[in-house]
Amino acid sequence: MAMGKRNIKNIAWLLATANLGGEYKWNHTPDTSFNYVASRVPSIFSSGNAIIDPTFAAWKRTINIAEYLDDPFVVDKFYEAITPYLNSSKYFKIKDTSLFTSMDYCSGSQEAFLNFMMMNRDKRLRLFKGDYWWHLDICDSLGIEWAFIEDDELRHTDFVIFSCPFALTGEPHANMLDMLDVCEHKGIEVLADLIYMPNYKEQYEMDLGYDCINTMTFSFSKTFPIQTARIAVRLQKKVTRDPLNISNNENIENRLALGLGVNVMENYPINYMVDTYSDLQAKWCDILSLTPSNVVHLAYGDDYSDRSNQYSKYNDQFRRYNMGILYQNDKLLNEIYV
Amino acid sequence: MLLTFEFKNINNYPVCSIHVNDIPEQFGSVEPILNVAIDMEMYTEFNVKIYFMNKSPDDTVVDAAGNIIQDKNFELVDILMDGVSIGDYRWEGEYVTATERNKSCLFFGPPGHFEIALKGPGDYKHLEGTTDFKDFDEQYKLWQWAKETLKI
Repeated sequence: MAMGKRNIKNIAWLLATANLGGEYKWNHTPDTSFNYVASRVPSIFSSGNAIIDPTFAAWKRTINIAEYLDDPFVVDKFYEAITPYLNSSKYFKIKDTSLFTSMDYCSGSQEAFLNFMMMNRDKRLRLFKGDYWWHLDICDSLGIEWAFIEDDELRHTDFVIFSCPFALTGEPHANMLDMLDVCEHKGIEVLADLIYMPNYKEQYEMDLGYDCINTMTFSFSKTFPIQTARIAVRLQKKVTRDPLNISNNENIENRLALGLGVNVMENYPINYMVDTYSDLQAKWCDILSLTPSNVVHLAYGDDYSDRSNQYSKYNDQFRRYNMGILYQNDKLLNEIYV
Repeated sequence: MLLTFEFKNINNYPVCSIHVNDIPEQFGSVEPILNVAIDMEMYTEFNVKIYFMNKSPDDTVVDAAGNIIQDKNFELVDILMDGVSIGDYRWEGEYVTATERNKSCLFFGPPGHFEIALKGPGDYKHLEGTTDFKDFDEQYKLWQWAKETLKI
């Protein structure tokens, strides 16, 4: 039975009022006053954060990551495992991963983005409207010029960051291939952010063979609920001797993060969330009259909140729903609402 | 509904009594935040009075030139209804002494009381000019429904 927008609001208020706990302090509701709950409602379905799968959540607490502090080889284990892991996806295929022979651990993809921006700070950043808002806030703070790809032609004095699957829609951006052709022709450096690829549930092949794509980034943060462990990697065809690379050459990468990453790759297939939650995505999209994305924890519909953009003036993602909170509370919602 | 009273510049241990519809609901030292829980339906009119209980002439000390060098007083900053500030509507209140009514006065100096007429949650007058609550009516009902459903 489809219920639509009215009931999206009901569920948002229900979940905002309930003290759900979790790894973010704003999910611990210290009081249930109207104003405090109202301030949380717009964020209930926001963010691209991973589904808090209970089996995974229980498992991760059993891992003794402290033992990796003194293991100098855990870095190599991670680097050796990551490319086969990415290539093991049953759905989203990445062509030419073998070209990316240089790897750098990074504390979240953000660290790789930041280094890319610093090394291109005299150029203008270009990205599609709806991509990760963080890029724009950082550019503003660093005084780096930027413009949306849609708003001006691409020039050889630009550099590009794009996500695939695209952050806003969960699909490859409709103009991605045209953008890459232009960048290839004009020698514009491009970074490909593949953070959502493990949760992509349809067959797709991403061609990273373009010369303009020297860098791709991957993080575990949107796939598994370990975003606070900051497990990410930058893969490059040609080494960039930037602050990230220089620091990593000291062999002082975060071994706690890398050790956990190695364990995740050994114990959880890359498409675990797709295989586990596709049915719940279909169920909740039907109940709430939302359009399911091909990224299993995302969906699309009308804005359910009239609040201004949260966290950043550039964060305009109110038509995108993170369905994870519904999957996580499916039992509760079934008992009291559906 | 929770009424929250915010005070500042609290000098020399003032005591207040907060009345809702002339029923005393709270008595004690003035603190930066005082909360009073009351039962009130949406859109129901009620009045709030805050009495300055322990001011006496001896509390005000002046120097030879007549300047006040010590006193007992405090100032009302805001009133919130379930966390929602009444905002500039607070200036509709009056400070009432034995001899006069001072409009738009939030300062508790002489003996007297502050009074203001309010309406139960949903009165848009309190929220005019704010952008966050243009659907306040609907939101407030959703919040009440959520609390009832979760039995909170």
